[in-house]
Amino acid sequence: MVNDHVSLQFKSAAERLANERPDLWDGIAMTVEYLRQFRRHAVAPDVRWGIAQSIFGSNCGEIRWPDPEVQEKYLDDAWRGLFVAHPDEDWYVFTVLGNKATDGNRWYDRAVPISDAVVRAAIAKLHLRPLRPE
Amino acid sequence: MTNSTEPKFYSTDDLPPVNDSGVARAAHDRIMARHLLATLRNASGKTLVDVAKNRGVTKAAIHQLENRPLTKVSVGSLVSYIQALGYPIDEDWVARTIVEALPTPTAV
Repeated sequence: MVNDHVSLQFKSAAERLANERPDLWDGIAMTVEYLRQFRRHAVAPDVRWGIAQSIFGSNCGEIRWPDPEVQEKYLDDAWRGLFVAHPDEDWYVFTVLGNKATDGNRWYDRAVPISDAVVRAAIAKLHLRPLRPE
Repeated sequence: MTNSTEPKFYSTDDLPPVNDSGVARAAHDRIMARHLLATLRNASGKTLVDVAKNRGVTKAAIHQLENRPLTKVSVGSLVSYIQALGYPIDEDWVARTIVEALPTPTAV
């Protein structure tokens, strides 16, 4: 049985977006669903596997929105949703959702350590099958 | 981003529903078109760099072509489009690749 979990931060950011920018949330929601459906077979560029800054390395990834076809409408938006997946597909934890448009790649310097901490907390609190850092 | 001292976790079912099913459907269709192209490229053993090199263009040019909006197209039209990009494929191969790329059903 597959268990997917969402952090409070991810859920709160999603709720804000859904209220304030519903069209943006609709795209992100579809990307989350795409990842949940295809898991490790999600090879479209809307999902990127392997976040070098994360201690979970290849098991850490991000969903990306808006896509290139609608980016022109959203010049100030580059939303990223970090997640970590157990290599045996036991669980996914969606950790941090944010807009990296302003900070560029510096966004990862702040977000990834939080994401890593959220995963460690989820493993402990939800008694998830452990995942060793790479 | 806040770092709560008492972490709370939810199910993905607790995420907000989509607001506009038309917007969501269009987004889903574009994601699946990109998924198909990426799956075909991966199954052929080619990277984006390989394709660009074979075609004598930049990686960005191939990426742009792969992202060209395709709205309502049949599989046949899509195959023609992909072949026009320079991918040597046939319908049998596409069918097998798509079936093999389908996710394993998950227990609920």
